[in-house]
Amino acid sequence: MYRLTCTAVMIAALAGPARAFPTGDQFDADALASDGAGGIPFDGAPRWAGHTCASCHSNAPGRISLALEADQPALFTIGWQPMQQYHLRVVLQHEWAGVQYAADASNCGPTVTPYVPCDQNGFALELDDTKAHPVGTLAAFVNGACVPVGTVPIGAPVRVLNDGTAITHEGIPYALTAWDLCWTAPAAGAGTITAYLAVVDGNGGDGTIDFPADPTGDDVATGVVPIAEAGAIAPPAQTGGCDATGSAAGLWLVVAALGAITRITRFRRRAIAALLTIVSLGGCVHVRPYQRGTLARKDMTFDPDPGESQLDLHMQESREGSAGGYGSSGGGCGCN
Amino acid sequence: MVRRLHCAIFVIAACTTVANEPATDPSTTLDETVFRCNVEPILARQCSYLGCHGNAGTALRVFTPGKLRATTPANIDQSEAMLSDAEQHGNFTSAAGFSLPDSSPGANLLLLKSLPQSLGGYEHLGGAIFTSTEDPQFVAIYRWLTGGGACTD
Repeated sequence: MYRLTCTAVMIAALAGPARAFPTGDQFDADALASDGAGGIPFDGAPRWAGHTCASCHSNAPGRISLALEADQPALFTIGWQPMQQYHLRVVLQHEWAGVQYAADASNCGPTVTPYVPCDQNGFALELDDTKAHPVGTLAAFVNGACVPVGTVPIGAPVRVLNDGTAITHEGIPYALTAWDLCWTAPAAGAGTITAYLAVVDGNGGDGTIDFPADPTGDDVATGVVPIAEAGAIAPPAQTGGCDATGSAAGLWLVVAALGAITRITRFRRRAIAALLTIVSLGGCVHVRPYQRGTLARKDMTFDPDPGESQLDLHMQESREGSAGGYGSSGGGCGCN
Repeated sequence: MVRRLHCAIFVIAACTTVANEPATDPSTTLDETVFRCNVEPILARQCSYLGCHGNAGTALRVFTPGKLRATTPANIDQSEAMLSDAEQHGNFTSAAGFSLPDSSPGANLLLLKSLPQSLGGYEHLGGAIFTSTEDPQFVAIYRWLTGGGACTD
């Protein structure tokens, strides 16, 4: 009997909404021809711009959470071992949507009369290296053993995407809140690997046979789990760097001075404050003329969406025959 | 009296109708066939999700099977049916609308919104979709905007 020994990481749920892919093969299906995701697993990985299940399952209340577990606790405490195979488990916690259909999970769907919605949940997971490339080998875990892609029996609850880079639910059996899988770590040297995962707590569509699955009313949780490489030297702390708010030395000096400054006279206090200000100014950056082009870029404005604003401005200028005076940060021509 | 009459006639004669010259409809200058075979699949795969551009309220509105449809589907079969010709044309006009008459293809928001800011892209709530200007998706859209590209099958 396989014994799952470690609950390694608890991840807080994030709210969000989007359209469902109730069956695993939809993740590989073409998005224009057959309602698929075109190979995008929506697990939040950087290569997908961080998009998760919430890209369609919108307005999720965020009541669920998720956990990533492993048969070997050292995976999360010491790190991954090269070429080591791990049995992982993705767990949907605090399920609430569609639980009323979970009691008899096999007795639901269009073949049942009268129609009974199914408690259909899902997940997606991939593990990426520091360059955001998927690493290692994913496989299904069926009947207590890892089953390589291509030999997974029909009915297995998980499915590896065609390109092998991510793993998702298969869609059946229903009422699942945990999915087992295998991951074989890469060769040494890959460094810290990050697991990106997301789960959906489906609510059984709109409750009718017309829409047995839809993206509304579901719940979503997403998570990111960094896994260090066992025995690897920790990456050096970030050094150097400077910003316009003052140097690090200046700020430390401010902190050290705060205790003493309360016991000195007002005049000396002002003098020290002025001195600290001067020291802090050492971190300010003088913007060179040739650097002003960067400051003039639209994405440098204090605007959440400069591109949209430009479009609005363009229309306003056309309507009113006016232009300019909108807080531009200056020309990028190098003029002083 | 006569002088006033002449003055009034002169003033009236001097009046003319002032109107904005309509801008060229960008959809008349772009190839819809190339859009359908080279650009629409990119928009469907990358942009069409309901929390994103599969939403009638967004500037770029993308119809796709199973997500946003032009008419509300009665059931999941209708929802997942192939796009109608009208829906595909709607995708074309929505994307073509970003081709402002006085902007170059390289300044098109379809390209810039999805490009990393480090490469000159604009802020995009959905993040950077293209890896660079060499990204095949970027290239396909750029070629369509510049009158290039061809359907290979």
